[in-house]
Amino acid sequence: MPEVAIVGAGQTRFGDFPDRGVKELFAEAYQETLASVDRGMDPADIQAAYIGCLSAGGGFQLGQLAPLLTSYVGLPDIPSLRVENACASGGYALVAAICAVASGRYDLVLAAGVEKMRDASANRARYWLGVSGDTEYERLAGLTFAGIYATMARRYMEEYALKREHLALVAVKNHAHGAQNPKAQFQRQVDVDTVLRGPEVASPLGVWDCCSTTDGAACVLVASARVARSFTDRPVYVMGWGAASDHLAIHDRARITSLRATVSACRQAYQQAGVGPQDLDLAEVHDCFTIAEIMAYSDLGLCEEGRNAALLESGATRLGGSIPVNVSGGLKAKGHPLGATGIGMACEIFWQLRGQAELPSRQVKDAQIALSHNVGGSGGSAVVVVYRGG
Amino acid sequence: MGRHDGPGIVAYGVYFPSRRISSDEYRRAWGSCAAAIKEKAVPDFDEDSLTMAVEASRRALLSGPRRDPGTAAVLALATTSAPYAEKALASTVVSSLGLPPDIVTVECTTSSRAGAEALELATMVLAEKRKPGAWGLVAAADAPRAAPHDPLEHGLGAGAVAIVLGWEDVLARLVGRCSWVEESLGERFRRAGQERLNDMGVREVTGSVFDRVAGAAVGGLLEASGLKPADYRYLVVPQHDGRAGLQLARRLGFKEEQVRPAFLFDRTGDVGVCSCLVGLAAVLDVAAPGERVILVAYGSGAAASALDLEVTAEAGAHRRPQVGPALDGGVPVDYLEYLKLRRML
Amino acid sequence: MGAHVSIAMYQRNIPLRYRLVGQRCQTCGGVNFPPRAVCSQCSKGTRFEDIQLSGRGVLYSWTRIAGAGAPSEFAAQAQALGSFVVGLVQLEEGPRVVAQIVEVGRSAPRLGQRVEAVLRRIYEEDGVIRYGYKFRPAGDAAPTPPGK
Ligand SMILES: [Zn+2]
Repeated sequence: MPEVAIVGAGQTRFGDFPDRGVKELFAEAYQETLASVDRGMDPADIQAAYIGCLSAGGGFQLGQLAPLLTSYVGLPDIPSLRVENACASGGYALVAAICAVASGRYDLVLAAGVEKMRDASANRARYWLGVSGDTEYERLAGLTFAGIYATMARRYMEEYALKREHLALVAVKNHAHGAQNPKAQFQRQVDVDTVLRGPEVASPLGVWDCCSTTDGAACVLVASARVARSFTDRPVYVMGWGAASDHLAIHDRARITSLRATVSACRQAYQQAGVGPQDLDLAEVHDCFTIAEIMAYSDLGLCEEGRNAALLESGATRLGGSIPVNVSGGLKAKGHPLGATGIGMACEIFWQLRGQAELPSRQVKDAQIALSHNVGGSGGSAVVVVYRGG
Repeated sequence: MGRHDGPGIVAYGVYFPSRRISSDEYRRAWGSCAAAIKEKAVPDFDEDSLTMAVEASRRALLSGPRRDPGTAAVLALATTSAPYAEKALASTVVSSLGLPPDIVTVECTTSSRAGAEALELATMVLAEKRKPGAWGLVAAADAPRAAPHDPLEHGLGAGAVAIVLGWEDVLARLVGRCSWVEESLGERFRRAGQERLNDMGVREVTGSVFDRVAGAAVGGLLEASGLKPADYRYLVVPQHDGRAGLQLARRLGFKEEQVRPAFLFDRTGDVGVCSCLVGLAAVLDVAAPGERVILVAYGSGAAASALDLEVTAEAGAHRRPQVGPALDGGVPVDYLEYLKLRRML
Repeated sequence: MGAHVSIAMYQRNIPLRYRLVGQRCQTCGGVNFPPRAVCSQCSKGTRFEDIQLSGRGVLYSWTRIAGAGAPSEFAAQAQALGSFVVGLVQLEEGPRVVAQIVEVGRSAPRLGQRVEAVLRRIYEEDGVIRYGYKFRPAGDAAPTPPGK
């Protein structure tokens, strides 16, 4: 019997918001979350907050960002903590909230993520991305974040005869999904030719293979199963979760065509949930680069290793397929506000499992069980959560 | 001279960066090329005198009998284009090659004569260390710089030469030397803090100083050895342009075939402190036992060193030519790429 | 704005950066590069001896970083070269290492291609040049050890 449930969710649209800072973005997602609770909720019932954020608002509040944000929205007294694990900061904030509730100490905890990247000059934004790889041996050898995934992609293409076009297909699919999501940064489709013709960023990856690091905020309310039904008749239960780490630097890893942290986190999550990949109705997968989604297919057990390209080509991972992946548009089209990304995935799953997608066309039919997969940097950390509709 | 009279050259290595710019590129950019070059090597954006010195040293160490870097007794470094105006330079080379920290180091840096100075000084230091297995290293590297609009710039190349000195397995021994110094003003100089060379550009004056000073060094050497130009198989002349060294050789009574094998200006350009050492390496690539070689190095301002070398029976025993392979090939770059690579844009 | 590795931190690694000094585990004999507190091969060994790596290896993977996307420390280099190649090199002694691959021109490197270490300038900070290893294709021009 699950101990933990999600009873409310809210998210800003991801994208470019020159008129809002990190506090305003957080407040918007928070207010939407309160409003999403079916039976309403007194904010005074929130007992703790975990807020995923990498850049601390572009470096403006490195110390005590979380108390700053929670007091800004009228929660000055509760314990509030910034959680950082690069692009998996949101996922780790969620797991921290889940663990806090599962411990029995709290009944209602806010898990949030927020990022403000687009105020920064191009150089500063690059700085914040660069800090998530291994600083000494990757970044300061000249390797960018895209470059790390590009290095994985080249190796993957060699070992599994993956074609450049397969990478493009991921972008095409996720942009098609994002085109229907009003919360996505990019709401337009692209075709394979456009992706292939895009300027190179780090070969073999072009600009269309890379997600956009952007602004945004997201929150979910994590409640004990004991109190969940006092807030809603349709809580989304957390069935299982896992988190794991790996060497930051790819040179320390035995393989670079699979993320060990994902495999390990996923095994924990399935085991606790008592389900397997065949039970999933949808998955929100960390596609910071197109190759990342392809690698994730087998790491998450959606297919056998080496069958990744075939799974993609079969259309199974498209909306309407047997296991739709990233119906939100994924990081690729929905946008990637680093710390907010992992919580944004939980929001999408909350809505999908409750049949609340804004457009019927983007609703996964009869979705019962879903998975979210959030990766830090190039796989130095990963979180996998399995959910069930109530 | 007997076989065990002193330390000598036991191995050597030559390095030129992989990119090449041709004189045609200068003609395209400026209408003419002021230097008598066909092409010259262009250092990569991330190369400097120290990285090139390390590269040449690794090649030199690989080309001779195996030796433990940790046992070297002396390192003499030569360059006019050091990346730092103040800071020990040898330490970078010592750390990169794994030479011992208690090694004697010499840094010769203020004129293009420095390559020969380093060779002389390292030999002198090693001559004091009369113990079996004692050896030393000379590393000369240069990539002199001038303003793009200065005709002097057209001839400036880049490269490195390293020489391993030792007591055993000597290929060529230093048997005599002569130095000559005379104050000369306005000839090729850089004031403190400047990166680019200046030259008053009055060839008649600087040419006569070169002739007199370099000539005096060679003259003094011949006087000391009691030999005539014809007794030497090779004369390695300074190669900071395509003419002066050849004219000097003629005036001193040396023949074309004594000078030509070591005269590489049209392929190397002016490689500063390496100019005479590249020539010496080219001679060692082909020399036969017993042959005598004069090397004359020249530095503006003005100073010249003439060195008298005797090739031993070891030469040719395990010969692996260094200069040809280092110069051959190369990836062409255009003038714009050249300016960017040399940080002149 | 750059990711900051202090001068002192860089300096502590000079033997590793300048000439590829690795660690040999006294428990299992495995080679670690860069150094570790606990051996990456046997996950037990905590005592090591220095070992001079050969600098020879093969290209395990690579990417070409487009000029505009270079980290700030490498912006000037990227501007001068247009782009640069970073590789993952499998060293002869076992460890892999990330490093720039120089002298590849405009041609595409091959996986499995032999490469050898060279000393180059990596980047500058506070006016100080940071030298370190890069790799280049091990071509015919490179000297081979003498036959004797
Ligand atoms: Zn071990």
